[in-house]
Amino acid sequence: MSTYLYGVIRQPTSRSRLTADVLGTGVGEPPAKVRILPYQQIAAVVSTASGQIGEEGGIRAMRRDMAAHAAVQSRVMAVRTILPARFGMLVPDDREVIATLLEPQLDQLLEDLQRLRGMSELKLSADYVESDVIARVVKSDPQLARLARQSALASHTQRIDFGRQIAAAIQQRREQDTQWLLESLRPLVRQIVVDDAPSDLSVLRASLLAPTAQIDEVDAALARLADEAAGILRLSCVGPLPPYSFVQVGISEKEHAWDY
Amino acid sequence: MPESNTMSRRDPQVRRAPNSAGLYDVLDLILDKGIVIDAFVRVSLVGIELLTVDARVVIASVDTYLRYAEGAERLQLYARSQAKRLPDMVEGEDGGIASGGKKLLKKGAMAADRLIEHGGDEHGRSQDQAEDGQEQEEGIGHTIAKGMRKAVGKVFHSVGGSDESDEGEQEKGAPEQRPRQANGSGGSKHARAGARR
Repeated sequence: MSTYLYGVIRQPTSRSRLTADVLGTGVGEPPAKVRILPYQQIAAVVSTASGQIGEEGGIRAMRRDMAAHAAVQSRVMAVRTILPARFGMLVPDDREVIATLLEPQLDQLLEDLQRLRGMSELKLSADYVESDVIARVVKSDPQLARLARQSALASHTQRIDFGRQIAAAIQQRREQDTQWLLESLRPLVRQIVVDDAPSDLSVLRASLLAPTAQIDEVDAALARLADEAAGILRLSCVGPLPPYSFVQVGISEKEHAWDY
Repeated sequence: MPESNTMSRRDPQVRRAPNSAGLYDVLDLILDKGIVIDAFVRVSLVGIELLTVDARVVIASVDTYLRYAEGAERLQLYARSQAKRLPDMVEGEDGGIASGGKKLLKKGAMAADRLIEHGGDEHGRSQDQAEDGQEQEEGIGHTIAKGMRKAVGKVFHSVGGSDESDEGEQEKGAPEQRPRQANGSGGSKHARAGARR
């Protein structure tokens, strides 16, 4: 038996909307009942895990348990600010949750809860539409336009070089567009965490922190930005999510513990 | 799928997440971000980290492969429409380019696409397995060459596989598992492209 952690909330009052239905069930097979573990003004959202990790009945890093983990956080978030825990935080028992997290980090947890109150994370992806951005860079550069006309009769290596020049032109454009997006987004949201872009055609991957009540406005602003980008940028925004990227607690441990 | 709607251009709706279908969207977050305490990681056994890494690759691959399969279908549509669009864009439809030349333009455009999309992958693969990489590149070369022959009736011999030494830099800075996924699907895309001709 051990205790699985979903996140930390402010301790609910008796009139809280955080009912047993909202808590529901979480990770494990069969899914364990999610419960509240209070400590002073805060509380951990936890469930009891029967097996060891990877064992039958235990928690596995597979779709089922990851989805359950995210779903619990999402349900709690709908009624209460939650500092979400990373997947896989399993400790021997409830006491250990208090001893290693709630007690020593109380001040920081309270500060995070206050700062992130009513806030949501939005995960924004901005990518070029491949065909359109190629058309755009070729059109806007006479040299590339000329090469495009000649590329039909060029040798294999010349064509490779042409492709490389297009890639360089996209790269140059991308830097400008990334800056433009960030500058446009800054006034709309509280905070932005920029992630690594996964590919050449990716203009921006970022987590935005915004008041949950203002998400519609952010959405409308993103639509305007997409229009301004005149069709070559595709914006996608997922949320509202618990503020994963904006939790400060335990942040210093990340690098060595999860360095892969 | 709701994703296809929300991914559409000029319509960046905020998707409600997560649900089981949207796990891919939050995977990075639940694996990389959020509360983590050194002690938790320690007591949560060594296995969880390995399990998590494996699972991330598996889940990400499945989702990526689905996405790429969709992309491969789109690519064919794109290739067809590009036949008109690139000459249109560069100069008028009949701006002195013979119809054979237009076909070639199309091939060239597609070749350029592939280079942009997969150039880094080709390089990565040829480093890992030099012989296979060579074959792969020759394969593309032949495909292009075949298109050339068909279009202008010209034999096209000089297909080099060793002159792409700088292509790798395009993928620089991408997460480690990315190129691997891209390789798998890249290969299948090439296969498809080859089959088309």
